[in-house]
Amino acid sequence: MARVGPRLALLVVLIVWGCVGDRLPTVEFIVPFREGGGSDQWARAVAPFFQRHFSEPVRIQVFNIPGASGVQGGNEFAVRRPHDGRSLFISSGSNVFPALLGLRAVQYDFKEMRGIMGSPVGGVVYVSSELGIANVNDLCGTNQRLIYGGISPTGLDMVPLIAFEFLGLDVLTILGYEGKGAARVAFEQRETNLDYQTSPAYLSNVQPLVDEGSAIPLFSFGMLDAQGRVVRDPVFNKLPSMAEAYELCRGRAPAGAAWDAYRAALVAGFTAQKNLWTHDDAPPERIDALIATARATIADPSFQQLATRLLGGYEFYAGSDVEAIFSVTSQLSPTAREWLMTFLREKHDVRF
Amino acid sequence: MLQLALETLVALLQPTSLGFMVLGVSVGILVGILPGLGGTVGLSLLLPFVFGMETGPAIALLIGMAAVVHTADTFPSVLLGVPGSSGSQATIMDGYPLARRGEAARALGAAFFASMIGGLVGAITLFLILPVARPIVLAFRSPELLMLAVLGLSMVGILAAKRPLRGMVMATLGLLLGAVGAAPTTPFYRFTFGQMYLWDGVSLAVLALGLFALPELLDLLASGTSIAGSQIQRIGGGWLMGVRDVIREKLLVLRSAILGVVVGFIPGLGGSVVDWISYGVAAQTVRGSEFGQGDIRGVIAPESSNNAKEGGALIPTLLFGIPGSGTTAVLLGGFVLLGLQPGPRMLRSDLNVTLLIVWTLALANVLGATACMAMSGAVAKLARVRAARLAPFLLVIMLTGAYQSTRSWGDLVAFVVIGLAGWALRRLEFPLPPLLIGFVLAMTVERTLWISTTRYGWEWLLHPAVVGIGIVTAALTVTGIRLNRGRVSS
Repeated sequence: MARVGPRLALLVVLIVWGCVGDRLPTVEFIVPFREGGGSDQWARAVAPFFQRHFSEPVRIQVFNIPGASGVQGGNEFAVRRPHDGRSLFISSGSNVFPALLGLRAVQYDFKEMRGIMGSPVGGVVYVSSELGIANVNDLCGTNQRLIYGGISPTGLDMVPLIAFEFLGLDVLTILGYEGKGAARVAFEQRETNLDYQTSPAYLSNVQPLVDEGSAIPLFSFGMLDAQGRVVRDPVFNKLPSMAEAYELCRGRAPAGAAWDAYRAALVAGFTAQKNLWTHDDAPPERIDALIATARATIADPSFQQLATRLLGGYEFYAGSDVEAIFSVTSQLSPTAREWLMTFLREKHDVRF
Repeated sequence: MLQLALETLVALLQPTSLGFMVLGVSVGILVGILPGLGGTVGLSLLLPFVFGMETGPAIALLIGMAAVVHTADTFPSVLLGVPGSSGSQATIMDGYPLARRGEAARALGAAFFASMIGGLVGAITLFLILPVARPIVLAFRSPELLMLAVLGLSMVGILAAKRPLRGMVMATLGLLLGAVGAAPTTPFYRFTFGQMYLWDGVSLAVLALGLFALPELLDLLASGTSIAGSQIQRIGGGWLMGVRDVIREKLLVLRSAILGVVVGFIPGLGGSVVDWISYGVAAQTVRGSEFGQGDIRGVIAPESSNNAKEGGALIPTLLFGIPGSGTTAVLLGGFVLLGLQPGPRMLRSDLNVTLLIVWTLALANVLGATACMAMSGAVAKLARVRAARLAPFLLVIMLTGAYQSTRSWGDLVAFVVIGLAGWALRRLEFPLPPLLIGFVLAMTVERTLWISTTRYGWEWLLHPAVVGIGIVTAALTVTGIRLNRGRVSS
């Protein structure tokens, strides 16, 4: 036992030294999900560049507060963290939808946050080639039994579910798969025959199926542009967007409460999928510094390389662009919200 | 293929990669030994460093860590009767009685050697199966997964031994506990009592620690002695005997390892109960056993399978990007950080990465087992320390481990509540493993039952594989009951 003493003392010294040695101010990235998840990867990718381009020497610390599909971390950020511009929060589709639907447990409000930077992702709808469907027109006119597999009606699946409803498709919807990967495997097992995947998963796992002829891509969810229109996805610019798909099926441009709900869900889940925020009543000069850092980060060539790998062809945006894109979601009209709640309650048994 | 395999091995043996593998193995051993910390926590610790690393060293680091957790987690299971991670609970059943008899070193030696062989079997199977595994994974649709989960649940009867009814009660309790939180098929929160902590349900790590660790600690304190009691035996010398035990039981090792690969390979079947399933199967099929009273075979079976599991769990992870275990779920995040997208290309353009994973898995298992054996003599002395001295230290580690699940106060409350309940149940002689099995399989059963009936109506009951697994389940249950009856009457 006596021999352990000095070693233990050394360890204590090292730990204490490690704790007090670094006196740099800390900027905290709150990731409301587990280590290794999509938002965690995003935060850890951005953090080192953010640190490098910051106007003063700081230490960026990524802090995971998982729980309740990202609501827990959002509440911690909104309620407990000081509004000093040193505490930043990462939102993702999963914790925007509960806010969009006005769930009682949500204590954060995106209208009380300032956007620093963010990034989009896309999604592509495809069917099994066995259905004999070659394009959107075939899809709308089909009398085959369409079977879709998803996770939960209040997550990203909300976007395809609204899309199918809006297109007037009769789909057997099975929700309860463990993840989008499991749902894709179910598609390959012919348990389902209609599916969507986000861009990275589509490129790595569905494209091979398309190449071998067992899957047919039909349309992309599209992207919301600065004027609030749904346009083609830049990564899948050969595929019609959801707006075009509607015109092909119904012969008129999409409009109305259902369309507003679709656009809000599209922004929350895809066009503005991941965003970095701070409190809007933080010191203005600190907010400006954060936005400047975000812009410098995005302009950094080595960050762009990494962004290509991470997002697969989409581009980061910064500053006021975040709120501009996000406003479709945060300022959803009461009629559109009502349509959405009714749709989820009646068609998908969601209890609010 | 062979040439590429050799090239990958040479690349792994470069100082940088080798160094990172050794580092990974060290972290793996550490989180394995510390109760409550397992592969998931270990990977979470390493992930931040992976960012920006080159692929080769990063893979060596991550896989090296994941490979050895279930080697090192045997230390606390055998020496203290406290699970080192959720994969080594079954080892306690016979490993701990062995330690109390003063045969800790033998148990450890057997466990490490069995772990190594199991890990190697896992790596070899991964290598051989991967090219042809796609159709096998695709054969398990929701109804088949449901039946496999039911097969897993039928292990409850065997594990409950003499008290099948109590086993059923505990398994049902486990299924109920598993239902807490967000429902898998609809956005509805069950039994949350207004607590947001319960939205995600009870954490497996907290449940396992509470059920198996805290009650043991309380009993240990109450007895006031050291674990090895007053036995004065040479603790350090017996590990070679353990190795000989494993060599003698080579068939059991192989069988358990293959079982481990299969359980790991099937997503959602609960890699975290592989040790119990393996223990249960061994208890039922080995002749003249004294399982539960310090039979070395009760150590060998779970230890062979829990290392083999990782090799199996990597198959769906690499081929489809769907995790086969909790550890591989975090590993998947690490892959994406490295710019790897699991999918068909792991067998084509990224084949070298796949081979690197196989080699790392194999080498890390050998390295980890060797290191643990070298340490076993010294660490085994822990069993001689008086409980009152060890307890505060252990309690702090367990609380830290529990707190790692979601890092909220709820974890600590849940740990204490479950621990006290577990202690009461143990005193009342209710078997605890069935509760854990019910808990782990609850989500899978509910999910796959829902999907099967929504998709296929009742027609799925006639799928050939469903019928086949159903027959196996029934046969296992009936023989299990008979065997236990026989044991009671004799």
